[in-house]
Amino acid sequence: MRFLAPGFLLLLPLALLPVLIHLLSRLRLRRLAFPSLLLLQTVRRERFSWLRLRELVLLILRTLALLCLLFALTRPYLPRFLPGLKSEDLIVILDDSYSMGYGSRWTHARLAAQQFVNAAKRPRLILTSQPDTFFTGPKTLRTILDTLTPSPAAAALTPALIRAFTESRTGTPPLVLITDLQRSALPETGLSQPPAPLHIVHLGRPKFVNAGIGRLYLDNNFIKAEIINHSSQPITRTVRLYRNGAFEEQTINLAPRTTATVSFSAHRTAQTGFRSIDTGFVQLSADSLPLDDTRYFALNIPAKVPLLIVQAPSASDRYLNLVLAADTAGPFLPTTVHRPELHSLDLSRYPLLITTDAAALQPGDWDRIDFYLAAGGAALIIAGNPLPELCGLNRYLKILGTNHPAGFLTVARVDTTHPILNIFHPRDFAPTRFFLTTRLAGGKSLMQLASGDPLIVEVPGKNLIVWAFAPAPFATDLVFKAPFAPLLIRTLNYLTTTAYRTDYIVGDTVTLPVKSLAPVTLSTPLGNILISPQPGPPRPRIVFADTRSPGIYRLDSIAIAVNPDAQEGDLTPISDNLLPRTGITIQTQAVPSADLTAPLLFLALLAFLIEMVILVSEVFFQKRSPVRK
Amino acid sequence: MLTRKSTETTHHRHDAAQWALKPELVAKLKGIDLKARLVVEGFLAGLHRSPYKGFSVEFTEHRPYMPGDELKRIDWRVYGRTDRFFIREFEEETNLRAYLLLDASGSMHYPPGTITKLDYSRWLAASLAYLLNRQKDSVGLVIFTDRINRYIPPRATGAHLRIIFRELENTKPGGDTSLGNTLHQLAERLKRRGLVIIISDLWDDQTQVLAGLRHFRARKHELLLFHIFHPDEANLNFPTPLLMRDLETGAELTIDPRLIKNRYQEGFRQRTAEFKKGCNEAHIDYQPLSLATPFDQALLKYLECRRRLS
Repeated sequence: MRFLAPGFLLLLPLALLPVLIHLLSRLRLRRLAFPSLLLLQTVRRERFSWLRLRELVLLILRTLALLCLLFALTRPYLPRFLPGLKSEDLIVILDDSYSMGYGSRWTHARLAAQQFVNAAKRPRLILTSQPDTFFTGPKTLRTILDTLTPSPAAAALTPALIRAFTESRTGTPPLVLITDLQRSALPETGLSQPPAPLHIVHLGRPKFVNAGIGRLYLDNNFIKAEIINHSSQPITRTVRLYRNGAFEEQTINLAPRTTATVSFSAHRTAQTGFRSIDTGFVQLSADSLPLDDTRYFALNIPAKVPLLIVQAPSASDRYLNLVLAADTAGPFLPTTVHRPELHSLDLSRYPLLITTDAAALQPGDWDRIDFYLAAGGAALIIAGNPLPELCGLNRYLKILGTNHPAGFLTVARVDTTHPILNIFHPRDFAPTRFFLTTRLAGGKSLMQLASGDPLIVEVPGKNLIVWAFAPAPFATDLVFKAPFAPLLIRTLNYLTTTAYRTDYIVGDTVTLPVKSLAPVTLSTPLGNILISPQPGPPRPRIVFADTRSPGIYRLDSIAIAVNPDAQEGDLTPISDNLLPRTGITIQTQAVPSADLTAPLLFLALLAFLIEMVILVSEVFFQKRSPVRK
Repeated sequence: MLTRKSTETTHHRHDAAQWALKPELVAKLKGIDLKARLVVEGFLAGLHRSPYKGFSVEFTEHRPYMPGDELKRIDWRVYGRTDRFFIREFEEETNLRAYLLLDASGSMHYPPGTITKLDYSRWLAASLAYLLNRQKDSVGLVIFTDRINRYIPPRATGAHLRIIFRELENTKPGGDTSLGNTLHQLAERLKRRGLVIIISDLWDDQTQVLAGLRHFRARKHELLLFHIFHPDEANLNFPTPLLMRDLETGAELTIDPRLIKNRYQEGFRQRTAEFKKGCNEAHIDYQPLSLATPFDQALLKYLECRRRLS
């Protein structure tokens, strides 16, 4: 028998307390001279044997209840070894993903690994978080197993298994995989058969209680957090958003296996600078798997964003202004200028720029816009009017001509996965008609006509969105339809917030733009790191791969959030019928230990209940039973 | 007004008399003779309101004064009302022979440190002796444990009463009880029939005790049995487990009174009821007396018995 909390063994002598009290009470028994014991003896003789028995039974029950309670505190368990696993060589594959931190899984996993390492002469260890490294030598392995904690990375068993299978081909030592066998950890098909017997110590259980935080994003005036209930029972959690030294709290009830969104008000802070980032974290009231209960965020929540609208005589900004004027709570502060004035303006004061007619812009204007975009500015270019072949837009996209059908064209495809369009359904745009559009090629098409020509294009590497239609009735009736306003606002929001990616998963490689090739200091949760940037194109950048620790990473005014993969919180083990399809044949599947805590608590409760029954029945019967002569 | 005043005075006197009959007050007086006098006088004062008014121990009738009568026997109240001299006549009986049998065994020394059963019993015996003597009845005293410790034959003189008082005062508890045997011995010893008043806690085999009592009846004695007990003996009202030691045998027994209390109380009630039934069958007057009981109950019981004898 082993203990998960052996420190509590020191309390075990307390179980003798009832015996001590019993003995002391006997020693300190009050003596009383009584006239005659004649009647007492008659009455007591009748109950004498029962009284002695009762005293003994109660003493045993009390001692047993206390002993069980104290013993349960030590969390004892019976270790069970896998039968027939006696080999000099052994490869132990230990799943150290963060799902293994649920409840006492990690303790059991570590103890099981220690057993195997101690039993074999030449044990080898491979961790799923470091599939490229083999740890050898009993001493090294023992040190690793003593100090190892689950990594915040998600479980990916495949790389470690492939590495172990490769290693096992020489000498064919048996393999032991210690894991909770999460559904997401194994590919559904395609894993080759292990060259040696693969024993799985399966720690996963179908019943668990865990909730985690999924995506965090800014939606207009709200920071929204997706709360996922991974378990198969309803749960209640308190969600807190920590930001700028304060927190906001909400309580949420979640049905089994559902996701709900909690909205927190995104108070806009008066920030200076071209773009600034707000950081903080959202926290759930804790459960047995704490790692997915905290999620950091780095969001651009700007104060009023100065928005420059460059108007051309050929294209009115009427419909754009109507939408912006209606969005009074929004962050945009529009300033309209005519094209010639573009040269005299300091564009760095405007994080966002809209040109209402790309055809009207002169080559010099395009140079300025190009410089502006390279400096981190964002632009929405409306290219609805027929463009000349030598238009500056061809720096980013290829101009193929104009679509001017006799009737109208309709929308055929909408990329609803894109942040601009993810609130829409393709049918929202179905009744919209387009009469005049520009045919473009290149870039990422977000919305497409039935003719195959793109309507909205995102230019990669730039904060640039191009609309191939003019927001005017002669080009489309979209300006009269419901999706127009959200489409414009979301496009502007997207352009002001996607200067760079701010949300990463643990283990991801981070790429951040820098101004020069001079070394920069990256602040991480584990400390500061000096990094030398890599040259472009298009711009110098730093590439950083050591994102093993969740938290906020900062580089000057840039901040990113690194979080564990929310899906790892789904602890559902792979079903038995799916496992063979992965290619793994299970030789032995065993639980490494039997937890004795619950049986001990049950025994303590039982002892307590029996004692209660005895005491209550005594009171009951004493009132009713007459003296027998 | 006069009637009300008279009633108030009577009430006051009656209350005072009742006070005088409480054991805890009697205990405060010094000297057993004083105690006995207080009890009996208090009791008789209370009798004016009782159904025993006019009982022969007090006075029987008025008769006109005749020369040669003692002046102190003239009833001045009657003279005040009628303007004539009347003499108060008292009945004097000397033909009753009473034996007071007092149990002085170790079990009577309970509860130690306060008014014990023996104290209560000796004050009761003294009061009865005083009352008997006042009636000019002969009164004797037997003090017994497992044997007869002291035997004082009945006499009706004042000097004899003092001997009885002194003996009662000097009685010490001790020894075992073998009440059944002792009663048999006494029944044999008391040749001349009379009134036998037994004061005991009756802690002995019930059958033997009743057999001993019946022996007295067989010898034509009238019997009055006072069963003395402390409330603890009846209720066993103790809050904690106890190591009980028998006052007579020294035997010890560990008990948890909370567990056996109900059965014990029931047992004690049954025991008392069986004594009562046995005594009734043998025409013996049985009176259980708790130490909290005022003495007048015992004295009334005696008077009842006495009246039957007269």
